Parts: sequence; structure tokens; C-alpha cells
Amino acid sequence: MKKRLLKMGLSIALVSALSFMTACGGNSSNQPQGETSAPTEKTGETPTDPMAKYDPPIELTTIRSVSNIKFDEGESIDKNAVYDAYEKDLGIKIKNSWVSDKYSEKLKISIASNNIPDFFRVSASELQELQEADMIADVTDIFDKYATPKTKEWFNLDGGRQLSTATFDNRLMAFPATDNPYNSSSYLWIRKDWLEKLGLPKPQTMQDVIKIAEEFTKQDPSGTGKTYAFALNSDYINGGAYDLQGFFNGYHAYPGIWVKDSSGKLMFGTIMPEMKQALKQLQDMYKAGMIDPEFAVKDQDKENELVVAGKIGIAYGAFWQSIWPLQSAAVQNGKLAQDWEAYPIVSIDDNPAKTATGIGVDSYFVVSKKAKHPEAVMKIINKWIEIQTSSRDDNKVYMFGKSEVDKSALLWKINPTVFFAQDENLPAGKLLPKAIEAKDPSLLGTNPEINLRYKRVQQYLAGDLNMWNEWAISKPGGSFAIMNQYDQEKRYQVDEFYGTLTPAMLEMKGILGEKTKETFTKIIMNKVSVDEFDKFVEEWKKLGGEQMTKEANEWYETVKK
Amino acid sequence: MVSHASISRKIFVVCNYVFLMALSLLCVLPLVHIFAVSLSSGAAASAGIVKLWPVEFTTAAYQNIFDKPQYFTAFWVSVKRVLLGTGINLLLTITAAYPLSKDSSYFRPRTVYVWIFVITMLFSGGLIPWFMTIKATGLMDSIWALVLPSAVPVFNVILLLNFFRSLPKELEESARIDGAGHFMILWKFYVPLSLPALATITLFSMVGHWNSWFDGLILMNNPDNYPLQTFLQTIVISKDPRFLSAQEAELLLQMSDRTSTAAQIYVAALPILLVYPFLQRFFVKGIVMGSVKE
Amino acid sequence: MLKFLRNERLPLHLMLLPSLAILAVYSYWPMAGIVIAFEKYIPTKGIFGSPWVGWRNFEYLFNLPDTKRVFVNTLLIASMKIIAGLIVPIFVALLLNEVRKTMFKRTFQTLVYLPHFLSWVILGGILIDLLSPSNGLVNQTLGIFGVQPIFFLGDNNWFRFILVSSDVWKEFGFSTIVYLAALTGINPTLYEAASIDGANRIRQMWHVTLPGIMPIAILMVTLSIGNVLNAGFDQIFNLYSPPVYESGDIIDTLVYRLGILQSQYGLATAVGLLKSTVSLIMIACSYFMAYRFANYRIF
Repeated sequence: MKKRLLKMGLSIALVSALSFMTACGGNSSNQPQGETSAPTEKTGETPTDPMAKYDPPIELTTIRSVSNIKFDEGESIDKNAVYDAYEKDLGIKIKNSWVSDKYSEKLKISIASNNIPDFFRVSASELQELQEADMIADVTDIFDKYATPKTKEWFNLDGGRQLSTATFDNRLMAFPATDNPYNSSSYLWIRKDWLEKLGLPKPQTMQDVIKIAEEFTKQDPSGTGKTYAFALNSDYINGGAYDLQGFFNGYHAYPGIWVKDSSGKLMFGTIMPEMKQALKQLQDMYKAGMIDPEFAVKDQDKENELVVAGKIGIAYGAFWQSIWPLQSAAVQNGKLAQDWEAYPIVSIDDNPAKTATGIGVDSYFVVSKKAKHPEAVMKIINKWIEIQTSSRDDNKVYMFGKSEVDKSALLWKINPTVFFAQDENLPAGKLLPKAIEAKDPSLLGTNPEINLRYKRVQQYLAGDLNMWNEWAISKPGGSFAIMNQYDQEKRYQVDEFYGTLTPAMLEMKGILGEKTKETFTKIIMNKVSVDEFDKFVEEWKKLGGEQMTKEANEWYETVKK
Repeated sequence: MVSHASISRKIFVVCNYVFLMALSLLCVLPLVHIFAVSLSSGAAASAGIVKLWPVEFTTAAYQNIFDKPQYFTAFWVSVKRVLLGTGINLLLTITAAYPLSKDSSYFRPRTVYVWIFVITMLFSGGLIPWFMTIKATGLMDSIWALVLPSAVPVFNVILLLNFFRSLPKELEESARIDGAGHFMILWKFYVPLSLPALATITLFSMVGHWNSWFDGLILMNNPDNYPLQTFLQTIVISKDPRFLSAQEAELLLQMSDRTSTAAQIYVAALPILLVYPFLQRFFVKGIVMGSVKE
Repeated sequence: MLKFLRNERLPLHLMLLPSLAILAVYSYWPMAGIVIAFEKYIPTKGIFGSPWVGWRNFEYLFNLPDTKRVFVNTLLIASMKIIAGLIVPIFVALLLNEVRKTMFKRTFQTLVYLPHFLSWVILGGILIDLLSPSNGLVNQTLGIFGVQPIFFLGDNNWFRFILVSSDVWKEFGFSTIVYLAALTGINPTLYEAASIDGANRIRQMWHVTLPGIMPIAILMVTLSIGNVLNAGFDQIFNLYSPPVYESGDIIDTLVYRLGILQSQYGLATAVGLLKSTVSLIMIACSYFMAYRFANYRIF
């Protein structure tokens, strides 16, 4: 990879006006893209300028949703300073084929009726579908030729794992919407005020957590007569909030992701023997009245009613759980009613608990095979990466709109392609606690997001309880600090499978997931014995799990080399 | 009518009133609850403490809807759709129900025609062919896309043809003898005599047009052309907490998905709810015989 | 003959023409898309160019785990809803017919038709509260009579009952409207004649009112029989959970949960075609039976 980067740098140095002419001239022909291995350039070896401006401007169509953007006066998703800036800087006119906040519903119709724009965002399964239907362009060569060194670095920070989730038979078919995998890590949120009230120490082991849960249920610190220990919603395997992923991880079980077994082969975490032990514990706790008996019919909002009512003291969930839903429980009637605190997840034995995370990509940008200027999409992406990696003043319009001042109006969302750094939020966990402790914002660096968070913490310290959620995340010992701690202690269990979905996965994942949920829920609710787990594992294998595992391992062989 | 008021009759009447009142209460209380939720703070709603009276009164959920300029354009699209759509529905329902209500001894092909209608109620090619047809006929992004494909409400046609059949035949025969044609008979006798039935199918049409949102979403590429229900469906409060700005976090405290959906129900349903009491005046008992006697 | 036809029946054909034209374009033309049920649909190849897979989509559907359970549940829940959805509105319409006060009548009608406008998303939340075994209103009331709390939404013995009754509650007011319209068509002289014959109110209801609305009732039930495979996705989706899959999981919820309809249009069309065919058979049977045995055309 290093070598290729170097080559790339050289070719950029050789950029000439001529090459830029060929860049757009070569593509205006109607020759179908992506069918040959060198689709964009007839001239092959000619070095190209990744950021050359199109003159006259070209048009690219896309589709958008506008969720929550607060547009400046007179602007809209169709016409705004950000789109204008792309036209001015790159000579690319962006035109929306349609705009809707029910994006996926509409996208499905567009795909099925073979009616797609030049580039757009899709999910992993839609990517698969488009690839199978041969509707999207091979962007391998475009990435090679037109991605700036910075862009290449950006996409390869994690060693190319996220890229490989979009790579079919060694051809890159989409640009993964990079993001950090750590956001999906788990945290143990506990009511600190109850710990103090009952004189309990902060949790160091799973045994501590079970003890705390028992004490909460027995001593009823809520005074309501009925205190449950755990907040649990019906989608508890991968819920993000009020889920159990962190609990299972404490037993070294990793449901939903692929892990290496003792023989070095890939195994699906859901059927690990360790799961049985965890489920057994949950069943015991359910029987002991430590879990809301109605959790199976409740979504997070519904379960949150119990939390707000002060009947629950422990909630596994993501780092942002303080924003939603815990904020509504913590701050009530203008007072801090419940003092929730994030702790690192704990282990049942001497091995430290690792937190399960995915690869960190859940959507992709694809280019239509019919697009006349597929490389223009790469230029747009280059621009976004440039905006993220340099603090040039003339780029402010892309982040903050025509006023170029940060009004937290989310105007950066107008950009047609958005990528996050693969290590995003790790620096925040390092910098923020230090700066808050030292009361020195100069330690924060230039990242606007981190600076905004600091500002919000200051608001909390000045008495604005609406900012409690930020405090719980960014403070020393907050969830960001823990995210960083996980990294330092090498406690991330990242999904070992990062290929494109195999046929069995596509076909069987839904069915297997359902079987899993049904069995686990019944076990927890003590409707069936915990030994049902063994039967489930057999059935899981028969229903296609075995085939899925086989295919996953075949893929694994190809990357091990 | 002479009333044979006996003791048992009186008991029945009282019980009947009590039962019906209890029934209506059962239907109204959840609505009162939802109304209370829509006027409560997001925090109170998510605490589940709102019963029949707002807690921490706020109109934030409604403001969030009304603040969007799109609300009014969407409302207007909906009004246009209901007027145009119901008008066309009514016209086609009446003109289709009349011939189909004829006895097959008189109008032999009617049975074939009826089944041509009924089949469309049962079979469809699915979403994609439906979408492609509408696109091919050039209706995308136009109000006609919401009106034309559903212009023949088969269920209503069948309902109305049954009502037509129950009308007394003598009238029609005497009119026929006087030389009146089918169009004349339909217009002069059938329509005035079936006002309650027409009121019913008008209501069904209006409610149907007003409530449907999915076709608006699929067939309109520009959100400015969304009818009200489609527009309301797209107001979702983002729960992606990573990207929550400070303002959004605050908004989330004042309102929640729950207060927002509750408010949407009222914003969306109120106009159409007002239609029914108005149409009720056509439900006059014995209207048929009354006019026959004249 | 030709002259006769031109004079008398041509207007009837003419009246049907616009409707038939609309149906031809927007119903029958897209109906060609049913072939997708026998294909692996690929967008770039289109409806008629996609590869043919024969019955494979149907086989897949019938070989899903729990298919039998799901079909049984669907039929059971849908039939119970059809029956209850027929009886309750007629019953209410008859009772309302006995009410003399116009104001009361109108207010009642308006109030009971309101729940029709609520969505199951919101009703789901309300029902979970009302039926909660720990603090739900229903269980608290039952508690007064010494009944142990029942977890209605988590109990296979109760779940279907809850589905049917909440569905009836939501829709009966709306369905009553049709019967009220039918009631207006009954000739008042029939009542007068009956009362002169000495029939009391109950007998009048039995011998005049009920026969008067019977044709509409038969029609409504025939049309709803077509829904025997539609047990109400939205409702069940918002109320069920793994412990009650056994009694509440239906075709639509299963297929949704498995996510197999995501982009598999062949399968989705197959499900639709299956339902349509069953509906057609049911409706056609009722139609021809009514015609053969009662010489009555339902429509």
C-alpha cells in the first residue's frame, strides 16, 4: 500500500493542464463504464489531476434526504451555498433527482425500476443487490487514479478492512462511508447515587455487577416497592441502548460478530458455548425478579418509562446512551434526579472483558454504471476529505454554509458525500478529559466537533443541566475516556469477517437472527430451559449456519495469505 | 309511531343508552389520552406519566409541525387531492354501479363486467409494475398520479350497486314508459334516492384519499408535492445521537417521537373528522319511501 | 335487434367505458407484473427479461421454518376478525336503531368512528400500558375481583383474543356506517304493518330490520372473506413478541421479520399472488353458492 501511495504522489506532481483536458474529454463519450478494467481513461498512463476543475461544468445527479438540517434563509437541499461551492471549486453541478426523508423506501423503488442517479448512498444489502444486477460502476481504477494521497490514507487507516467490505472479486464497487468502529462499543451505565446510597463499591467484575443487581432489587433504593436491576428492550442483542451486548461480552461471548475459535477458524459469536452461561445467569435474574417481565414487548422508549420512573439502576448501552434515552431520566424538573455513570464493561473471570464492535461501515456510496463522469464522484469525495484534514479557511463554506460561522445548524450534512475518520472519537477521549481538568481549551486542537463538546461541558459546569448528557460522555472518566481506555488496553473485539456478504449470509441471516431472538428471549423469560440453547445451536447449524460458517472460512483463507 | 311503552321496554331503553354511552367512552378515552400526550413535554411522555390531562404543558410538538412552511403546501395538496379524487371516484362509482345493478336477464354482460371489476380488487402486479405504469403514463410529480390510478373504487362500486338494486323497481318502470333514457333515470331517480349510500361512499373515498401516504411518497419526487399525510410521515425525529446538535438535544427533551406522533394524529385527522358529522344529515331514515309517496 | 341494442343498452355500456378504461390501464396492465412471482427479478433485465425460476419462490415460502404454524395462525386470526367484524357492527347498528334521540345518535356515531383514524404504532403503546400485568388498568380492575394478574400480551392463551378484540374496537364504528346507511333504506310502512300485527320491538327487529340489512351484511362478509390471509400486519407487528409467536405469528410478520422481502420482488409477488388466489377462490365460491342455492347474486 505504501508503495502505491508513493507512486500516486509522483504522478500528481506530474499533473498538467493537458491531462485534465483528457480527464473530462475522455469520459464524455458514451462508452459504458466499468465493463473494462480501465474504464475511465483510454490513454491509460497519462497522469491525472484528481482535483482538476471541469470546464464547462458537468452535472451529476444524486438523491438526498434532509433530516434535521436547518437551512439558511432562502436555501434548500436543491439550492444552497454548499452545492454552489462544489460547482465553483470543481465545476460539478449537483442535481437532486429526488429528495425524501423516507430515503430507503424511495431508493428501493428507484433501484427496482432501474432508475438510479449518477451516485448515491446505499446500505450493505443494497450494494450487494446493485452489484448482482450489474447496475454500478467498478470504481477500482477511479480510486487508483483520482483519489488524492490524503483520500487514500483516509480509507486505509484501518488497513483497508472497510474498503474490503466493498470489494467483490478484487474489484472495488463502492466507496465505504468510513466511520469508526468504536462507536458501537458497549458501556456499563449504573446509577452512582444508588451505589452510594447502598454503600456498594463500583463494579470491577461481573460478580460485582450481579451483586449490585441483587442489592438494587432487594433493597429497593427507588422506594417504589418494585425495583428492577437491568433495563432491557426487546431488541437486546444489538440495540445500542438498553441492550445486553456488554453483558454477553463480559462472559467472552460475542453474539452477532465473527470471532476466531481455538483452532484459528472463524465462528459466529451467537453460538459460542459462553452464551449459554450468560443466558443462564439472565434466566436466574429474571426468575429472581431482577428484570422487567414485560421487556419482550417493549422498545427502548417504552422501557425508558421504567427508567424515568426511577425503577431501574443498571443499563448496558453505547457511549451515547446519556444523550438518549438517559438524559430524560437523569434530569427531571430542572434537577439532576438520577446520577448515571458509565463504567468499562466487566468480566466474569480473570481475562479482561473485550467489547464487541463491527467493522464500522454501514453504508456505501455507489456510482451508476450509466454515469458519464464516474471520476467526478471521486473528486467530490476528495474534497470532503480535504475539508476534514486541513483547516483551510476557504473550506468553511462546506461545513457551515454561506455565513461560514458555526451555528450548529448541521449544514455540513448538505455535502453529498460524508465520511468520518476511522479513528474518530478516540482523540476526543484523550483530549477532552485533559482539557476539562486543566480548564484549558488550547489543549483541544482544532477539531470543531471536539471544541463544541468542550463548550457544552462548560455550559453544564455553569449550571445548564440540559448538557448533562455531554458531561457524562466527555468528562474525565466519562464514556469517551473509557473508549480510549479500551483502545489502550486492547479490549476491542472487532468483527473478524470483513468481506462482502456471502450467499448464505444474504439468504439466511434474517432467519437465523429470528431463531436466535426467539430462543434467547424464551430462555431469559424462563419459558424453556437453558438447555434449549444446545438444541438451538444444532438447529442454527442446520438452518444454514453451517453453510454460512463454511463460506466465511473460505473467505478467511483468502485474506490470511 | 305509537309506542307500546311497557316496563321491559323502558328497562331496555335505559340499558341501551348506558351500554352505548359506555361504548363511546371506550372509544374516546384513548383519544383524550393521545391528545394529552401531544400537549405534554417529551420528558413527561417518555416517563409514561401522562394520563388524560397534559403534564408539563407545551405545544412544541405542534410547533415542530407548523414551523415547517411545507405544512401549508402539503395541506393544500391534500385538499386538492380529496376534492378532485372524491369527485372522480363518485362520478365513476355511480356510472359503473348503475349498469351493474341491472338484472342479468336485462343486461346480460353485467356478470362478466362485475367480475372484471372484482378481479382488480384481488389481484395486483405488485409495487414495481404499478410504479412503472404510472411513470410510463407520465403522471409522476403531478396531482393526477394520486387521483387517476385509484379513480375506480371497486369496493364502493359493489356496495352502491347493492343499494341500487334494493330501490323499488316501479318508479323506474313508470319512468321508462314515459320515455326516459338510462342517463335520465340514473340522474333523476337513482341518485336522489340513494343519498345515504352516496354519503357513505363519499366518506369512504374522502377518508381513503386523505389518509393514504405511501403513493404520495413514491410518486412525488419533489417533497413540495407531498400531500399532508406523506409530509407528516417524513417528520421523524432523528435519534442518531452521535450527530445530535445542541439544539436538537434540547428539542428532543421538549418533544419526543411519542408527542410528535400524537400531535400528527390530530393535525392529520381533524379536518377529515369534521366531514363525517356534516355527511350525517344524509342519513335520514325512510328517505326512500318518503320520496316514493310524493 | 341492432336497433334495440342501440336504443336501450348502449348507454349502459357507455357508462362503464370510463371505468373500464381506467382499470385497463392502472390495474390490468400492471397485473402483467405477476409473472415476477415466477422469476428472479433483476431490475436491469426488467419484468419480462428476468430469469425464470418456475415455482421456486413458492417452494421457498412453504419451506420456511414454522410455515405451518404461521398459516394456521393467519387463517385463525383472520377468520375470527371477519366474524367479530361482522357481528359487532350489526349489533351496534341495531341497538342504535332503537335510539330515538337524533343528537345522541349522531354524537355516538361520530365518537365510535374516531379510533379508525389511530395508527397501531400509537395504539400499541397504549395497549401495552393498559394490559400491563404490573400496573395496567385492566389487571388492576380484575384484581378487585381477586383475579391474578394476566400478562395478556405475553400469554399464548390470550394473545389472539387481544388481537381480535382490539381490532374490533378500532374498526367497528367505521363499519357500522354501512349498516346505518342500509337501515335508512328500510320501508317504514313495514314497521307500521308489523306493529299493527302486534309484533313487539324485538320481533320487529328480527323480522323487519334484520332482513332489511341482510343483503349488505352478506355482501360485506363475502368481501371480507377475501381477507382470510390478511390477519393485520400493522397490529400484530406492534403488539407481538417472541413468547407469543406461537399464537400470533402470521405470514406477513414472519416474512417481514426474516427480511426476505427486502429486495426479493419475486418472493414478495409470490406472497401476493398466493393471497390473491386464495381470496379469489373464497369469494368465487361464496358467490356461486349464493347464486346456485338461493338464486341470489351477491354482487
